[in-house]
Amino acid sequence: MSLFFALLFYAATLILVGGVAYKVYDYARTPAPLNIPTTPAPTTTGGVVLRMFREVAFFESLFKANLWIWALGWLFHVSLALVLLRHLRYFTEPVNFIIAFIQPFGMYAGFAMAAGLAGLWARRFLVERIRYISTPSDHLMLALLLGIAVTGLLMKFVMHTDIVAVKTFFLGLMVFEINPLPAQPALFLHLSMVALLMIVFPVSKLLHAPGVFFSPTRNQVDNPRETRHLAPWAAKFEAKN
Amino acid sequence: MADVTTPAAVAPAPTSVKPAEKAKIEAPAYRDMPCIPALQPGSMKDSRPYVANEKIQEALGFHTKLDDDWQVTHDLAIARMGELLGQSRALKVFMDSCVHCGATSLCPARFSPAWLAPGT
Repeated sequence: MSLFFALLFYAATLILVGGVAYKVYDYARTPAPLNIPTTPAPTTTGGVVLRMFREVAFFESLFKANLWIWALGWLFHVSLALVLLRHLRYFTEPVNFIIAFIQPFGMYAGFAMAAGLAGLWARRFLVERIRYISTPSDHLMLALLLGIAVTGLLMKFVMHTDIVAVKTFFLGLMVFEINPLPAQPALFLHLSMVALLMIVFPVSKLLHAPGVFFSPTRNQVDNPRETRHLAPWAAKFEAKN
Repeated sequence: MADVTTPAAVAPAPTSVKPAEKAKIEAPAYRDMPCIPALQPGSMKDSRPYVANEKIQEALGFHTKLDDDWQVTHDLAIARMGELLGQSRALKVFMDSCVHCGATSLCPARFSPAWLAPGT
């Protein structure tokens, strides 16, 4: 079982890093032919950085569009960030003091994350229009994330797992050493779902994470009169005439 | 613009729709509480693109007829989609990023077909 999870995580990490790197490269090389910032938009680069920060940190557009979705979505994402930071303690030795400091907050964030996910998933069943636009992939992402949150909370509060052994396992992986993983169903479930999420990341809607930075409606400066915006392939057409 | 991969008008040409077939569109009644009106299946069934006449289409280099073999049309459309994805970062990023959240406005991944206009 330890060997299986070791190989699974090597594969998942390769797919996640390689896949997202390729997608980012693909976004970066695809031309943005028009200057299309959604107005009112900043007229300076600094302003765009600030706008992007608000978008990424606070989901500004969603806040203005729909308060309910924003509340659930933001709760989930912030909790996920805290939970992920908390999990860094399994991958670093010695543990950074900031990571040690946020441990208790990360614990509560686990509950907040599950609550946010449950709310987001409930929408997909209870609101007719949202049910109509939901695809199997939407449900899969929510199921995986909620499954990960619930099994994680189970291991923390109901059936403890030997986290020292888990840490030894993951630190071992980093130096290509396979140490025994504690045989516990909740841990196996937790890790399998995490690996699956890592594997589907580069081919799923989870790409909104890198994607938001490449959104031309958000990352462009509103200066069409000051600077002419010309994509390379459009310039070729001009040269012909 | 207008090359071999440009699909024929993918949607069916606007055949004259008899008034009887048209979906009845009614504004929902006033509600004290702002609840979401129920879905009405088929309310968009009469929605079609306004296709220019064949002479104009031909002058622009578009196909004017659908191929008898649907596979040909299908392949042309898919090829054209691939081409567009390579020309527009907005389209590519938004196709990948949409999370189907259902909030109807202000989305960073909201796309307008007009953004494909120049040279395509």
